Amino acid sequence: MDFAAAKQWFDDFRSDFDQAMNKYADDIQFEDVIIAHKVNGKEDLRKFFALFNDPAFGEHVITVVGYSGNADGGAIEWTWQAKHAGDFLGVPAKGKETNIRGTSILVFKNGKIVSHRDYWNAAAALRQLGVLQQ
Amino acid sequence: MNFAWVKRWFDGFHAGTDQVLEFYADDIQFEDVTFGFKANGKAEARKFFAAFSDPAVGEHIFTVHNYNGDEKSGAAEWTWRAKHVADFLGLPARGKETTVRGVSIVTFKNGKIATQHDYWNAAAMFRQLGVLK
Repeated sequence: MDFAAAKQWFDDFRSDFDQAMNKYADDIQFEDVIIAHKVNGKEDLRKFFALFNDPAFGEHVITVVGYSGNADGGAIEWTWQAKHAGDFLGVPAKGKETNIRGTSILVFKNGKIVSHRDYWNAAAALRQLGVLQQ
Repeated sequence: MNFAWVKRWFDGFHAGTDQVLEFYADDIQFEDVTFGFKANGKAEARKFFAAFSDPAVGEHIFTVHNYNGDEKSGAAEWTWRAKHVADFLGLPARGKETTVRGVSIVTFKNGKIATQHDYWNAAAMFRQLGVLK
């Protein structure tokens, strides 16, 4: 993967979800480290990511800002602009907006993503939600 | 760069500030995104890294797990075990221990780290400090 491919891939999640999911191997191991959420396999991951296109889950715009690494693996850095429809990180967030940075660490095998781990700035999100002091 | 190089780099944090700075370009642009800290150049980076081997700032042990990328750029994932002796991010942490995972995303110039962006699990740290459910 490179920067252009990473941008295209993230765009696909909004415009062509099936195409975006096609980047994953069937036995993809996904983890959102911050919320301690693991998903094994493409079908379950499809359900998890579908949430981000569901208005009941709020509005989420993720913009790629960089790619470090090569075709075998690396890190996509992004910004995540969210308008929350409910609690977030266990704190009331309905109607509130957060704008934070994060990264997806990817490993490829035969051109497909076999592992994907996300890290993002929970400290900034909690400050923006008024839970932590500035 | 590869995993062996990355291991030597992280060992540097425990060996001392001079050792770890050997891995960085003079004009290093360092950012700990989660901490909200930026250092421009080695002198500023030195002050920040010195904290990790200063007993007055607690004990900090980093264990690196992998490296994905090449000699141009990539990402190293790690675990950070901290024994705190003072407030952390404005929260009472003295005497507490935290273990969280994070990642350093790096680009290289002439074999030295030119840019670095760190992200780590602040939610887990706040839970371990008892300030988040």
